[in-house]
Amino acid sequence: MLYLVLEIDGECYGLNALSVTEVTPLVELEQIHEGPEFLAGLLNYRGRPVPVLDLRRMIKKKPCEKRYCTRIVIVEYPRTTKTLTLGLMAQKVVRSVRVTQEFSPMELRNAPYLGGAVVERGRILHCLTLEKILSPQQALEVFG
Amino acid sequence: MTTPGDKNCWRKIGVWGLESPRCELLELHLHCRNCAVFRNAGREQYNREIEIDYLKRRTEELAQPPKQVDKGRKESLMVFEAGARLALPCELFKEVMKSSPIYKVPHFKHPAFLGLVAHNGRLRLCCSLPVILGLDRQRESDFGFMVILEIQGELIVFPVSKLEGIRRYQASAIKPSLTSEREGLFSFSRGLLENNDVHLIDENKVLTSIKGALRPI
Repeated sequence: MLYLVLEIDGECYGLNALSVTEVTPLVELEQIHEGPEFLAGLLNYRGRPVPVLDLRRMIKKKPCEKRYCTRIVIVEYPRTTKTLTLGLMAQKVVRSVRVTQEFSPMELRNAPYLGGAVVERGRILHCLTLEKILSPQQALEVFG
Repeated sequence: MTTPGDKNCWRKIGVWGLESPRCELLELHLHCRNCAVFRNAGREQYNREIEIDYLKRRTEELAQPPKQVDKGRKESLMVFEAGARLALPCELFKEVMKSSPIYKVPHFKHPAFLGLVAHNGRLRLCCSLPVILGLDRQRESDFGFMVILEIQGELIVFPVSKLEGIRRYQASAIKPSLTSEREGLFSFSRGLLENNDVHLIDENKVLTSIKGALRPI
């Protein structure tokens, strides 16, 4: 399986490439006042508003830095019967890896989006489970 | 002394540098571009603070609605010159070869039939496409290449003066030519391409015409 690697403060997170539509550079987002903290803003994605999550904010409680390698990964977020377009902002989105071994399973109460880990080129790669990236409460806030 | 991983090590002890001793990692990687030090330095370039102009430009680009892509059928055509600019579907082309000698067949004269050409140990009919299409006679000095076409299972050799290459066209980009024209090039034309400059030839009509010309044999 091919995984897109996102880095957050030196930790590697893998996102299954099958769910990725596009990787776009960092762009200016429309801020949502009074919106939840993890929501970086709304992206004008080819004429459609798409909510963008700041993954560094979600995981490390710090916003992503404005660098060239900070990118927005456009994904199809599965929700009940349909899929919704969602943007994930992360840093150092510069490579992808092919993972052949199984992810060692993991189920953390406070981080349900971590679907396990493998060792890839001597580094731990966490698997991001896209459907659990938002808690039901958060999904409700973002998508209604 | 510079060691691998130092700033710009590839310009000092690597392939772009002259310092000695040479980098020991070159033994393993042969070229700096295969080395993780160089790769990581490249990735580090992306770690710069983003410029506001770039950010604004990309924001604008990403907001543009997607371009409508014509998903219609595409045709791969070989464009070549033989009396005029012509095109034929790629799948008809079995081989393209340098011009080779044409053996005349005695006691048989037809302007469209040039003779026989040896190809892979077999003799193939060699015909003149411009004559069939009602264009000028082909001069032998114009025989730049010979193309071997397979039309309805028949392999026929045609000398051409120039091969322009393979182009892909949307089926909608091929404009139908005038159907009222019954003579000459237009009667063989399936359509026109590139500002009506290139004729897409109907290969079946060419074969019918060749069969008609060779009937006495």
